[in-house]
Amino acid sequence: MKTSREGNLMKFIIQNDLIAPNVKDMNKVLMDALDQTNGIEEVIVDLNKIENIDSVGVSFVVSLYKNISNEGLEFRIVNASNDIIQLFKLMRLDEFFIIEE
Amino acid sequence: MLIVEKKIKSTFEAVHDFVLEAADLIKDLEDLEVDDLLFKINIMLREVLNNAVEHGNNFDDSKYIYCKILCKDETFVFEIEDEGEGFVANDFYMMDEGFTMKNRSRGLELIEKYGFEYRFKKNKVIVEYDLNKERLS
Repeated sequence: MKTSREGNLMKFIIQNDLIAPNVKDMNKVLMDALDQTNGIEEVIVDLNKIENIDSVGVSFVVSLYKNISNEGLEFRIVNASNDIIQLFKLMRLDEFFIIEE
Repeated sequence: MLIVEKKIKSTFEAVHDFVLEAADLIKDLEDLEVDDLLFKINIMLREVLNNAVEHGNNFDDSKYIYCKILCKDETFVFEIEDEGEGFVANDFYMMDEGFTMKNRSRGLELIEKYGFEYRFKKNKVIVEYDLNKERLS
């Protein structure tokens, strides 16, 4: 997972599929990144490279959202495939954060 | 028609490899339009197989998961059997915290919402998908 920062915006670019074998390592990167949100107002999660996802991966996104929103920051998903957008909507996650289509 | 029959190790990595292999085999089936269904099958298989790894075989690498995928009468049949004590629907593998932010397990609900039908037989779960349903939806 790559992170970049531009002004008050932080971007997480997820580079590995959001599936059970990958999420443990991604959690470590996430914890480090969340320590660096000083001055940040919005976090964008880019899912452009994600083809495969499972419930562990969805949990990762939900956990990320919870951490971000607890800090009072905005949270947005961008560049997700149509299948993943529909999955998130089926789970009603779009009621909690913005999923750009 | 048998699409694939294989035993895999009780690891998430083995699940991932099998799901990709199965998806390729299903995609290559002649006379069946399954492109719109592949993502749903991908997710369903991961949920059922991850459940078998964690709750069925308890990550025991000496135990295997037996996977069989068939297509008969335009219905996909997925048979997944582990070496555990048997499936318990309430323990079905799902995210720790997920759907609508509640601490509830809804893996089966997702599979149902995707139009799959399932039944348990001891330590085997059989999931079916009627392709005619896909055409009608």
